[in-house]
Amino acid sequence: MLWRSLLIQAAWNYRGMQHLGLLFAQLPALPAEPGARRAAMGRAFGFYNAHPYLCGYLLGAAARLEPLGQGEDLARLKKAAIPPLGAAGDRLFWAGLKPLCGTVGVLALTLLAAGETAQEGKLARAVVAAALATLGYNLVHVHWRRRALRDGHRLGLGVAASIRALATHPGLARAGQALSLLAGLALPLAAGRAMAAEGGGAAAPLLFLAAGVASWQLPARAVALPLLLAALAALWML
Amino acid sequence: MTLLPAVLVCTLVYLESWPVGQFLLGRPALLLPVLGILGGQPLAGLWLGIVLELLTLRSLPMGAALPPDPALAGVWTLLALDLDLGAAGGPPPLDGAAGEAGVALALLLAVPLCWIAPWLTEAQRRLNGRWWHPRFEAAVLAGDDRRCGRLMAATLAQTALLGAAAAAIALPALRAAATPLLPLAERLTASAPARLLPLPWLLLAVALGALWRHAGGRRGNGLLYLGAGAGAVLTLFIWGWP
Repeated sequence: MLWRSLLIQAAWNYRGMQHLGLLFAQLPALPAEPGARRAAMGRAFGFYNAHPYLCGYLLGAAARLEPLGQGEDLARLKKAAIPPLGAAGDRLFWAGLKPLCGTVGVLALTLLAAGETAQEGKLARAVVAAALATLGYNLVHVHWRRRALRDGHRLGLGVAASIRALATHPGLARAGQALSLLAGLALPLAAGRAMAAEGGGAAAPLLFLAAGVASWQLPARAVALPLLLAALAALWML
Repeated sequence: MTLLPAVLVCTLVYLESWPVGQFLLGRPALLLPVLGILGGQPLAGLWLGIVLELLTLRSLPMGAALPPDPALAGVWTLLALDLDLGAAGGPPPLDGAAGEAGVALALLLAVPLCWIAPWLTEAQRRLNGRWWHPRFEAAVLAGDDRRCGRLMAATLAQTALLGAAAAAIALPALRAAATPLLPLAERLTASAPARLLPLPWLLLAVALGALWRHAGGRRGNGLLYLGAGAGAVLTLFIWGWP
């Protein structure tokens, strides 16, 4: 089921979103008796869209409840679990872990390459840094997939409490704060790293970063000002 | 790199980006430096990786949303610039150009592509709804779970084919677009003071502005300021004032 859950988005569509992926992942847990099997397939075919990494909660619960003939309860659990699974997963992984690891990768990439003089050495260190950040991301991600599947199977209908608890998971706030700090750190360092490669020192990146800082005070047009500066500077360079 | 292996790499990146696994192996900060080294364009790979990663750091695929796709845009661009089209393709446009011009050219191509590449995913999603959904529905009504398994395999194969076809069209097209853009990239880099590249810095500034909007509350903003201040001091400490 864990391997099948990797294909949860494989047939994503606007009619039922991830429902075909969920159906495919749930096939091994369906009852053997043909009538019950057809009914269970029909229930699994219903609309489903949540965070792809957290589908294990429902798959594990299905593996426990379908053989016990509690398919209708499972269908109600699925309907109720979609919003919290989507919201918590998006915040935990897409808005938390992914940018955090991306920022750590960029930071490590710039800092590790700074102490190396040979071009090949710099690049090798950069690749190692990025690979480590990706590995870190996937260790957490795969751990969570397994945990969701195990909790779903262990708790059955009781997994609803675990799903509700995701919304208040302490990792949400910590990931956001760590991201803010590291992102602020990574931007000037990445700029400085690349500028040093061009032999220009730190002046230009700091100048452009100052433009970015200035744009912070214009919430609605935060992106428009740097874009305007970009156009003006590009024209000036020409 | 010739067209066939380049299309294969692009197809694998496309499959990994959303239909299979989502291990984020195609993230620009990881994949593009590696491809850049393998393809002999290390500077372009590193620059593209950093800039695209930061530019799309907080673009989230929430619900049915299709955010910019830096993975596909980056890999298409980098492999297109490294493409060997043989006698029919003419000489590579980057021959004789400085590395800096190659970086500027890659950025000129890749940044708009981040917003164009998601159309491929949109097309596949619509196809899944119109073509594959009714077939799955028939299998469910028949209670045929084996047919569901076969249909999933067929869906994946068709998705891979679409990704490959898109890459087979996009790579030569990008290569063709690179030739007229190269003089602009060379002018951008050649006339810049102290051999500065304006594009990367400006894109970093855009990333910073975008991050501000997502930092989340007074505490998040405070930490972003704190990090940026520490980063600026570290930048001066490591690389110094010119």
